[in-house]
Amino acid sequence: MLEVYIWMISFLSLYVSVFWIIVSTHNKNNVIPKLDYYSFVTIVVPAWNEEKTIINTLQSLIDLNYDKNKLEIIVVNDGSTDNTKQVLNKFLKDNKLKYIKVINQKNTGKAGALNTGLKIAKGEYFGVFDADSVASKDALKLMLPYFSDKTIGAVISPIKVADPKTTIEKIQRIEYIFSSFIRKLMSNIGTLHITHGVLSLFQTGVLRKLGGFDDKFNRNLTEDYEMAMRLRKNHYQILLCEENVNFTKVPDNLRTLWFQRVRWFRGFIVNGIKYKSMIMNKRHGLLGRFQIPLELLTLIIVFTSFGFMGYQIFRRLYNFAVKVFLLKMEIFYIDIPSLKNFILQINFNLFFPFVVTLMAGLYLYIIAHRYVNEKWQFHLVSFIYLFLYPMIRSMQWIHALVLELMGAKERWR
Amino acid sequence: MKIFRKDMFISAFIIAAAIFLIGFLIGDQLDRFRIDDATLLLNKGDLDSQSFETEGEFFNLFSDEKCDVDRSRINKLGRQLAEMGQTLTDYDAKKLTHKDSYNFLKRKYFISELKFYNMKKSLDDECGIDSPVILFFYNVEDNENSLRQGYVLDSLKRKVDDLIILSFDKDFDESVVKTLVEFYSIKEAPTLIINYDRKIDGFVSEGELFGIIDEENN
Repeated sequence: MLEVYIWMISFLSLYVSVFWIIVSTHNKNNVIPKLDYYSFVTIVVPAWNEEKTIINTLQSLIDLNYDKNKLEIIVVNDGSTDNTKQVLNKFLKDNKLKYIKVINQKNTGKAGALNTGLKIAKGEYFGVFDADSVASKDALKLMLPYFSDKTIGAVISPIKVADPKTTIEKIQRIEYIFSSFIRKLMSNIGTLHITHGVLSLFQTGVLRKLGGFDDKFNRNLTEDYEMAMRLRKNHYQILLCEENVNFTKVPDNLRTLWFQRVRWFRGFIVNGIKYKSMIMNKRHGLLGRFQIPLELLTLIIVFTSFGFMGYQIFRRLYNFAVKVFLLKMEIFYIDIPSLKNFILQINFNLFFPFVVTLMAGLYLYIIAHRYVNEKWQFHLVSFIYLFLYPMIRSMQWIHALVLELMGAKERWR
Repeated sequence: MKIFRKDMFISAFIIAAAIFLIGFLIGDQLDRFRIDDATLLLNKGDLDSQSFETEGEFFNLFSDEKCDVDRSRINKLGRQLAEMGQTLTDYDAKKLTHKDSYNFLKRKYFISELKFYNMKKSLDDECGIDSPVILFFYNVEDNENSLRQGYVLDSLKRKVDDLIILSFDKDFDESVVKTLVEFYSIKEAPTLIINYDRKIDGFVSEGELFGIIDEENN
């Protein structure tokens, strides 16, 4: 039973990996679009207790290589309890930049802060930029041409982790490389359904037409993902501008990472339920009939694998304990087999699917690094990312599911 | 802008299926090697057993000393059988296909075990060989107690040099096994038969078993 399950999962993993590899080998071969007209752009920076990072973030927006007469930056200080307000006031006083506005308001959550910005935004395009991120200088120039027609609702960019130092940050560095790569492939086949806080650009008119960011139903869990799903439900495309890369700070310890991911996964669950009508819906093409079911299937695999794995680990630990404590057996008694016996002893039923899945994963790992012009190396962090991190993610998913079932409350940070 | 084509799904399926087919063929070949290896082991064991038997017959016919056969060989034969059983169990647990071939080999193995058991009993009776022998009836269907008993016997085997352990899958569909199960009224697994007639139902710890063997052989 277990082996049949493992082979099925392995076949599915291999099938999906091969599919993405095939997609990655088909370049769009399109000419990189160039900006021929400076549209008015509003970038909103929602901030809550960001005294340490907000100036760096603002500086990167000031450094944008873009006509400042066509740029508006709105910082919404969403009831910070630290010195964010004072830091911002000092910065404005020192710099006297007309195109930057600061709005101080009571805490409403990230979606509420974005809606405040949306209400007064003058720009034709609306950027969402987290207060712990750094934009590349040409971000707007590279991203805006992607709005080639009215059906393009949003444009995002790949994200890299800024200055990773701790192991947790380094793991996320690989994770972001990987997700940027998969997002590129999703964008290429028209199934991208994610916008993020590291400079996502939207058509302002479309955002207003759709009623702005959801600050009620979504309980501030993942308003960016909710907006992306709403755009897709209303048949707007989301594209990834692969020529531009922005940077973000990521949690530097497991605890912070854990709660961030649990919040994200809860957002996925909440929005998955909210947009369940898109599943297998032919009106939503490949997104409805392939991408979303694939993500749900992945979730089911995660949960069942965790169950099976937990059972196997428990069983092995129990047997080990029996051997050591009850039977006082010589646990280090090892018969060194001959090469022939070693080969014949390989449990191919488990070995083959494991190796196949691992090879496919490694290949994707390498081409994902190439895609973002990063050197790939296989070191301890890669090992943790490939083998241990999936287990941590499984536990985060279970934690998120439990919290959702219990109806626990959550703030955006 | 989009580059998706339906044939990407089909190509991915064909490639994934081809890789799995290759995997299946390699697994199948590995199974064949295992079956050949186990068959060779069983045949060798059979031949050694026949050789021992034939020597015994020779001494019976031509010598007054019926028990002149090399007694250490009975232990060697017992060890060979135990190794064979271990190999067969390992291979069986890892099989991909060829269930019938493995069942055939297991039948052959259980028959060899009973044949050896008979031979040992006859020698013990006639020549007073007193090395301990245990029949171990186990259950393969996820029986943790059988597994633990197996660990105990493995451990004991390493400590008692001339101990002979013969294992039987209590539910295996073979008349030899059924005969033994019926003869010893085996109801549960694990059950041990020590030195032909002492029956112990359920799990026995190593210390207890050590004491029983000591008591039986003194």
